[in-house]
Amino acid sequence: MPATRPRIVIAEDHTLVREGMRQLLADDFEVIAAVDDGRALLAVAERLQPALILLDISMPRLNGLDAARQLAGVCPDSRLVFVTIHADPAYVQAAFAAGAHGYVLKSEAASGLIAAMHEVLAGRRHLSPGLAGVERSPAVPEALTNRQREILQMVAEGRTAREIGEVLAISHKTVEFHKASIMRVLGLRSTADLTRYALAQGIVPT
Amino acid sequence: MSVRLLLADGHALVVESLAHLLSGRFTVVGAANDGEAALALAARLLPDVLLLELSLPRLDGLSVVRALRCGSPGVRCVFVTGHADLGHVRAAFAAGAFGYVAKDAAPEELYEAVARAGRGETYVTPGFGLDSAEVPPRQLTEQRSGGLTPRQSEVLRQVALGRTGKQIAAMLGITLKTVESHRSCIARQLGLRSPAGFTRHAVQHGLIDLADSSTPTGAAAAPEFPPADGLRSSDDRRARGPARSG
Repeated sequence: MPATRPRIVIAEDHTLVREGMRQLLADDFEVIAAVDDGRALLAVAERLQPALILLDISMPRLNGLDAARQLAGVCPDSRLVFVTIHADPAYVQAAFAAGAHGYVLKSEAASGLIAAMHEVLAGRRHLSPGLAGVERSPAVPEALTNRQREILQMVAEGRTAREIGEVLAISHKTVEFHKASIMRVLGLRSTADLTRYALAQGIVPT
Repeated sequence: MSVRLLLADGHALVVESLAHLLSGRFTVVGAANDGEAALALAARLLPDVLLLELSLPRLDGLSVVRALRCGSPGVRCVFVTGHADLGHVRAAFAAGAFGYVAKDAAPEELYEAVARAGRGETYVTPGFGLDSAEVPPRQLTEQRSGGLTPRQSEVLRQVALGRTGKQIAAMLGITLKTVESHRSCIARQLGLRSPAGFTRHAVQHGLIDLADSSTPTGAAAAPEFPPADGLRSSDDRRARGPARSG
């Protein structure tokens, strides 16, 4: 075990996987926090400024892609490695557009993840074998703001305007205002439409 | 003697993570990354317990459990899965599983489920309104796949497409009150708490397609489900065919 292990944070909503990974990585890294959604990740990353963050894409309240977009402003020196089941090039492109340094599939062995983390910490980018090259395709421009995407995800998760307002510390009226703007921008008319849009875009998992 | 465990999940990293959590308390005898390998390994190693995901490549988890029940009935199966809805729980126990643990459960739950399966007892993650200690597996399976009537499925579909109660009532030739009553029944039965929940359930179970018209009042395809026969409500008498069919 090295004298000083790199300090890392894990964001993964499946507790069993998260706790297992924590043990799995303990020899090589110091896991200083492990959280279950993107919102909690933003909070601990700002406070702890980890060297590296492992994050899943599908997470409740704030998914990994939208969390990554905000992490650049919160902990600019942290390296980001996505650990996900999604092999779809669209996700890979979105991840690198959001600021990722690495992208590892959960179908890889733990040794592959650990190697990828060391590579990213050494300043290089890393993709799981088979994905190389796909990250360079142009990303589709984003129609919604970060705040709108946060609200869209929570609407699609079935949360009320009041609940969303509490999570984001804004009034439920402001939430309703954002929701109306999102529907206008996307040309949608109901919560059901928003939910289907969020599912189709991968903002919430199907 | 320690329980002998076999693990199966399509994602190697998940298998290794679970193995780390479990190896201190149980004996992990093997791991598989697809359903066929899980079945073959289970038949050869005869573990006390097979921990498996519902979604597995090559052969799904339910098929593995059904096959083992005939071929190697001594192997008790416990699902450790990302699917957290009552329909999947019921299907799992109907197939012959001894346990059902959501992947967002605490490790202690997984330990409990494995220990119980080792003793021939059942376990189900809390939160489904089912008490694993008291409810024998059979009772969990009485209502297959959520147990919705065709009429309920159609209402679920229309809600998921964003139609209002009034629109649905007009379309199906029933009163608004009947629609509301269907809606609350469905919500209770499937554990759905919001319109967004209806939409997610409908998409996840193939009742609607994400490519369906996204305008709530637009010309939608004809309902996939014929109107239910034999409903007692007089409101349903006129419902002989879809009022609107594209």
